Amino acid sequence: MNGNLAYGLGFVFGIVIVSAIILIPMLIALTKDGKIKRKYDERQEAIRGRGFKIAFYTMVTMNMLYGFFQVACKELPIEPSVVVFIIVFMGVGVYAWYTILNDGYFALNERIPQTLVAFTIIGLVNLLIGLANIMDGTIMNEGVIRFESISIVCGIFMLITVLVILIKQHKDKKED
Amino acid sequence: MKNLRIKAARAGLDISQAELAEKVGVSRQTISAIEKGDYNPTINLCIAICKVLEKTLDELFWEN
Repeated sequence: MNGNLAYGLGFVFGIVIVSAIILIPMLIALTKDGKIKRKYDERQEAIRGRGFKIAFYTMVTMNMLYGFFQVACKELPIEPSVVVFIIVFMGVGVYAWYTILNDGYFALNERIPQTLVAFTIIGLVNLLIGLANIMDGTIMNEGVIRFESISIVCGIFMLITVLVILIKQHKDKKED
Repeated sequence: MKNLRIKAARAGLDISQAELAEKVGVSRQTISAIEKGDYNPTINLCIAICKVLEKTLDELFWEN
């Protein structure tokens, strides 16, 4: 079997298995009434709706720009899979930053310090993996940015999110 | 337009924004936004606020 095909199949099956074992039960638990379900007030729901809309238009715009550059430049120095992930990160990032700054991100029954610590750890771990990839030289191949660069992109997005949360907390403290 | 009547009613009962928010089931920032006039609450939230502050809808939300 071709190595790339095996890698691709492994990736897809990995996602399917993780979804079946962890994500689906977690989603069911999060949406059912109970302690774990996140509760938002009416203003937060409206802000989250606006956040989704802005994130959607961000992703559409970025997809169009990518399509334009793909046609105009023919060969971009970046693998398409990297661009796809960057566009997803941008969409999620814009949604998170907008809702954090407008009080819609954290639920009424959510503990912000725990989320902050988790985001910081995820960001730093990804950044370290990314830096290791840079030092290994696996991030680029013949002038083309490879899929291995995703860790560093993820790390940067997570740490920007942490920064946005800290800025918002500082702003709220000043208001009090 | 700022809603100073909620702030006054809250002060009359010695309730903070956070306490009022907890009693009506919203975030403190939502109460702050209502008082600043940045957010128009739904009728359900208006009624919940009125009940906690022991006021009528007219007293808190009707424009003079």
